[in-house]
Amino acid sequence: MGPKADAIVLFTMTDPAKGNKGITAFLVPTSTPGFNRQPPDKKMGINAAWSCTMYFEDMKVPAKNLLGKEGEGFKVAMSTLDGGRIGIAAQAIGIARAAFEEALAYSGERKTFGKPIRDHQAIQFMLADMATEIDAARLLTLRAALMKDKGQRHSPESAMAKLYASEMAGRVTNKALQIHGGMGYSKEMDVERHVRDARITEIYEGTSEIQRIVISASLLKE
Amino acid sequence: MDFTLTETQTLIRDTARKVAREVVAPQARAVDREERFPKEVYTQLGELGLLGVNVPEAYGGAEAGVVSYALAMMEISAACASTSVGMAVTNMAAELICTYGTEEQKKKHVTALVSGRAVAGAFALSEPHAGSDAGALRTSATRKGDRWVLNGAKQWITSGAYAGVMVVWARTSSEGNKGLSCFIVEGGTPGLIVGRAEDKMGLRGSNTVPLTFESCEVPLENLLGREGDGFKLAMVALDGGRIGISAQACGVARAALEASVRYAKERKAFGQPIAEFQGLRWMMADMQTRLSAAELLCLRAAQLKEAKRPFSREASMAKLFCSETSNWVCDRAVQIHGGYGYIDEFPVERYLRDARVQTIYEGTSEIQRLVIAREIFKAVGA
Repeated sequence: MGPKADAIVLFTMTDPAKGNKGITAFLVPTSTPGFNRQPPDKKMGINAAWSCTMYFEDMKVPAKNLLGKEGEGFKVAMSTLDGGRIGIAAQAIGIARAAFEEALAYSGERKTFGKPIRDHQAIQFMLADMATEIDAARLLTLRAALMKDKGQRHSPESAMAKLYASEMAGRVTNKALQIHGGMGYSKEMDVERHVRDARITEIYEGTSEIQRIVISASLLKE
Repeated sequence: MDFTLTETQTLIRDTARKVAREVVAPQARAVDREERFPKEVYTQLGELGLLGVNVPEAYGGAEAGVVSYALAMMEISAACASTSVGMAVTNMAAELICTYGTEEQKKKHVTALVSGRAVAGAFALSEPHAGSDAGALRTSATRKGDRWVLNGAKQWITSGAYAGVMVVWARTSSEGNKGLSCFIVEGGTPGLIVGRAEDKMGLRGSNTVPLTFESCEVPLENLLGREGDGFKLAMVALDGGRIGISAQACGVARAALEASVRYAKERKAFGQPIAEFQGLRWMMADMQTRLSAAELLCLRAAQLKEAKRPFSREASMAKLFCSETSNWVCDRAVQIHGGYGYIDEFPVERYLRDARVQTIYEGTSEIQRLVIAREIFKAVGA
């Protein structure tokens, strides 16, 4: 929401020598002199969610706008991201479910070789795999959410939910498009939008690669 | 087995590579963004012989064979898939008329297609209710005196609004596959109505339209092949078409891999270029390996066709593997680019959207698997 936001949480490096411990968060109104932003990015999907690049030139922020303590920015970011990953996992599941339901309905309408395509075994197998993967992702996500609810540490569980749910959404929406055939490539149906929207879930809130780093690090620590 | 290219093949590939880099690539982003049909590019491709790579010189073609055609398709596709799909269909239409047409049909229509005078060719087979299932087509052609009268609806016709020469399938009798015939219809013929262009996920510069035939009359001499030959012609053309789409898939995937390698060397994370991380190096090694396998499957099918040997199974395997590989490679390319892969400042999101249709058109992956399985069982006599 960068292009529209009135205030942002800004992460800065206050002491580069300290690495992660040199990161500090600030609350910044976008009316602050020295704050600049570029026009919204043109993206593949989630087109109603605006994003942009921001620039800061000698931007002065009052000391009271410090969020948390100096040098605690990394902790602030990580705690938000763990929770954020559960949100994106849930988003991925919602998108996948919509695509699945549309594919299921379409497979009953569309006929080839004299029968609805859902009577062909290959389509039935695709639908079975899609349903199984959606449920697996849903359970991983609910487990992470439950742990967060209970105040337990949930970094690897959230990472697993985010990793699996986002990659699942990529596979399921693509299969749903495939079941729709040519119609699936047209903007008349919703399914191509689901594919485009799902694609970002493997990137934002930590890419799949970052989730794998989090998961393997927690395994190796034990 | 010889994997080296002949002099002619090298010449065609280099010619295509040059025009792809100098003319096609610089406008690819605008072609996509503005949904601009690259009309003027086809004139240039025509001048270079790229609209009739496997068409005899006597009719204006390059007469360079099927492998050359596949190589040319790879090059143009690496620059712009919207442009290359129109190029593929034009080559297909020209080749089909060359194979089954009368001398008059070749002189008139093939030369128009290959030179770029007809702008592009079109291939009107799919209908709203029947794509992969050609035997279920309903568009009809009835003989009335010295004319054929066409009635019906077609869908997903590439270059349909611009094509000067179209090959149209219509039913001349009700007997399933044997009741299909093939006709040449010129753009602008009265009774040929072009519908609203589809708004697509990708290939946004290519023109995809529904066509309606309302008592559309064509002269008797526009029947292509014999009455009832339509299904055979469709199968022959589709087998060849699959080589074209396989090559397109390889070209787009190669562009995505090249973009990824460039980006991985520049982008830094945790203090080093991301190209130094094993996870990404392995990803790119897999991308290159699968891409090379795809290119070889495509060129093998092309070589078999060129040698006039059976190639249905090989063309289907190439189409299945190349299109699925291209989607996987383009998807990995987006992933390597991270957030930059999702915005249109970098070309990889376009590559991914363009690649997506490759597992659908010219026979879906599911149809390719049916063909491959059928050929396997035929070979063992089951």
